[in-house]
Amino acid sequence: MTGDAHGRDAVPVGVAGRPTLAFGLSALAGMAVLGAAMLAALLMGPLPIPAGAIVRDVLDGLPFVSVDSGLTAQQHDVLWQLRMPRVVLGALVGATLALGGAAYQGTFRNPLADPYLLGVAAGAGLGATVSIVYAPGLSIAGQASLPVFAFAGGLVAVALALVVGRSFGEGRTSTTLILGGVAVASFLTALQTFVQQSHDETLQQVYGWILGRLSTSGWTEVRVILPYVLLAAVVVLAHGRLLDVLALGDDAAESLGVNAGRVRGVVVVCVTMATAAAVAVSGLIGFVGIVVPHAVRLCGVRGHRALLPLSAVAGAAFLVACDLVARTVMEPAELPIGVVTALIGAPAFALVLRASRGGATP
Amino acid sequence: MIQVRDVRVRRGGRDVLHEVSLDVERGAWCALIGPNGAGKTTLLRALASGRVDAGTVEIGGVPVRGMGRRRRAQRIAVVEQQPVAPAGMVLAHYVSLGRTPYVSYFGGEGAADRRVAAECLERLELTHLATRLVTTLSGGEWQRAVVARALAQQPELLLLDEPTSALDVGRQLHVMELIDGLRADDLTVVSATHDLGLAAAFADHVVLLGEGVVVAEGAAAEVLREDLLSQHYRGSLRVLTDGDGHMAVVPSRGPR
Repeated sequence: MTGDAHGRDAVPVGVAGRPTLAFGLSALAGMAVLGAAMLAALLMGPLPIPAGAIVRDVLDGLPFVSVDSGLTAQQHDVLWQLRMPRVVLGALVGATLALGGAAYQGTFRNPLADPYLLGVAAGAGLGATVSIVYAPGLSIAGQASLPVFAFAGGLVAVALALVVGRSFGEGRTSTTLILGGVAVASFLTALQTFVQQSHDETLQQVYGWILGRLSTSGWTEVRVILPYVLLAAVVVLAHGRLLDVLALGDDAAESLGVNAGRVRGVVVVCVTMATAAAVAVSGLIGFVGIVVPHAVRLCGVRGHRALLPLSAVAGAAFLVACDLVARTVMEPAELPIGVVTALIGAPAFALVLRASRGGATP
Repeated sequence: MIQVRDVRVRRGGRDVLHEVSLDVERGAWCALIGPNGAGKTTLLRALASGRVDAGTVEIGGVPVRGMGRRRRAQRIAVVEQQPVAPAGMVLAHYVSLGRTPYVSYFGGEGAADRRVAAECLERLELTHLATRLVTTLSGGEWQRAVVARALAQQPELLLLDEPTSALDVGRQLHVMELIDGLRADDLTVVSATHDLGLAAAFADHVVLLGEGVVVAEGAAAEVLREDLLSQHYRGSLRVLTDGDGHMAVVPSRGPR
């Protein structure tokens, strides 16, 4: 599906950027891959659960559908209280990171942008480290304090980046925002390292969080991030065409009647909230936000109205698959999922880039 | 009718434009000329946004600054000096983005928008390239693509900043002829250019800017004078005119 040697475009969207049948088929294919990854993740584990029974039990949960799945009570509990929450959380976090990466790459016209660009990872890392070191066992409104500290740290970091970025120049250009993010991230990372090194008895815990994990306690984590993820998805997807306009540059966008600063601000706020929420429950999972949108582009997808939803679906499938590897490859021990995303993502990305032979510019 | 009255623009603590006044008739082509730093691009930006430190910019009696962002984009289109060619965007989509001022905030193009975009591609002789990535277009094709996107805004006023500076002579002429043809629909054109020969060939009205003020304005023959140009461009220039009144401005080094 990549563009051909003459730069002609075999795309799953129409030439005017409108979704077409090809886009619909691509979306269906993506959903099928996601469904297969989720089913595989639900199947794997110490307690065998037949695939057919899983499908029947999921169908049984739908309104107006009644099917006897044949699962035992134990299998039912393992499926719905252990495996399903983890798989759904993986899908939500993967979709958030990939959607955020695609949105940031468009918003900042920077192919190297990922959802952590403006310092959300550094802020969340500091928040999590402070929670582990200074407030172990503390609960806030009945919740463990770590996700709350991480979420707050991520939001504060991006708010600081916006303030610092604005102080650099006359306007909120993409460059000044990125520079603000770099400055804030460097500062907060230094603080995080200082706190971490000052309390080496918690090093393992801190590193365990930083490398990412998708461990769940029932549906709590899913419920925590779902509102943020849904809000960000709706708002960012609705801005698809405007992100195409931003790709023309701020001056051109202004001459087309688009307030580039406002669009960028709305997208940044929504992506930040969703990313901070995702990081709060899963730690720092790198590579998804960069690799997935580029891989989708390299499949020939053009225009943000197609790129954003397809990146979200692909990101969900990618992270569910990575988590499956993380928890099975060294069973009963688990690999940090951030290690798996990098180990799988980096070579896969390099291969895809090589296969494209420069035919499609990310 | 474009009316610019006593416009002053300050940048970096100094006046980049001062007391600039200008009238451009509907359907006319006005060329802004002058050396680097004379204020040509600043004046184009003032026309595009209405943002000035003093004075007024009006189109058809309506202050540009008071227009809403979208309304302004429906009346004024800008072709920048170095427009960004977005990676991975096909030409038809690029041109259709010119319909943005007519599309609702979260909406997409309707059938009418797609028809206008297709017409713009056709008028700029680009229809056969509609599915090409804009990053793969030649210089001349890309310049026409940018003009087509601006034209899709269906503007009354087209502002061009050095529209042909990256093109060879033949393609310069081709693009300028195409733009000139657009004036049949009463499109008013204001262009900033260093190419004095093209300004003479296409503009009805030439404005020579020097250090932020209007030094001379009028028909090409009145403004493109050797004494004026040599003084303000700070170099020896010769103005050559053939029997048909075509003018060319060339640098002169004296005998070798």
